[in-house]
Amino acid sequence: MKTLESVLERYISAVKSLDKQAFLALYDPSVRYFDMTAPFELRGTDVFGGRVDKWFAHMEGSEPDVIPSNLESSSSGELAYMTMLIDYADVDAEGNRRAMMNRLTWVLAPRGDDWKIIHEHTSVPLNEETMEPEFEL
Amino acid sequence: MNTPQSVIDRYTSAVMNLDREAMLSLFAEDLKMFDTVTPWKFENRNEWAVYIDEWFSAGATYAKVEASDVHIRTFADCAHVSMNMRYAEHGGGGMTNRITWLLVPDGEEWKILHEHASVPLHRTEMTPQFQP
Repeated sequence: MKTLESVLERYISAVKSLDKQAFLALYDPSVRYFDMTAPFELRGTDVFGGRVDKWFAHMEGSEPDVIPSNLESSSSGELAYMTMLIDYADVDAEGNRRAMMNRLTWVLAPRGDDWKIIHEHTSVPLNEETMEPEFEL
Repeated sequence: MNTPQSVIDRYTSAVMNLDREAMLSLFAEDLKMFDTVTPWKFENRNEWAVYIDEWFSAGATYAKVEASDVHIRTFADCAHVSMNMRYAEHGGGGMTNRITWLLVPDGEEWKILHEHASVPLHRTEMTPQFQP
């Protein structure tokens, strides 16, 4: 059985190389996806794939990087989860480094000898006073 | 053994009644929480309890708290819930959150080991969207 850590390693590799097929292969086809941006949810890799196209197109040529921290994970035979903070960084056309931190929760189920993400929840918190989103810890 | 659905029911009841003890009893001591508003994370139930005190004493009262689009998967030693939770305040305010739970058994009860609650942001303006 592949490890949860290998899922994260493949996720980072897929984003850094903007490899849509490798990225979508991490997800169960029926994934329930709560993304940082609207709508409230996306269901299925068919729908989610369109969003990945736009995301990766936006990062073309920008040297994307993905840096997880505060990682916690656990698995039973039937279900696993991973939680983390995750920094998405890249370099804009003027050469300036951009970065945004997210909170990320994955719920994974065994499929053959691998884990597939059946649910993802990605968000940033709203400032308690202003209710404006915060993008840095 | 109770069910994850009963945890949802007790959660909505605890918020409706602003019942701190009932609310806290739903969570595991080693809770890890990503809440809709800052801070970025709570590392245990004691940290979360301080926030619940602030939340339940802030003055908002609720006409209705209800879950919808609920997905539940239950196994022997863990369960997973994803749902929308609508908090409708008296007077017409309120919001809907996306909530993800991971639950673990503790004696005869499921306890929330991880909660991730949030609202999505508008795709271009990056403003929070409080209703689906």
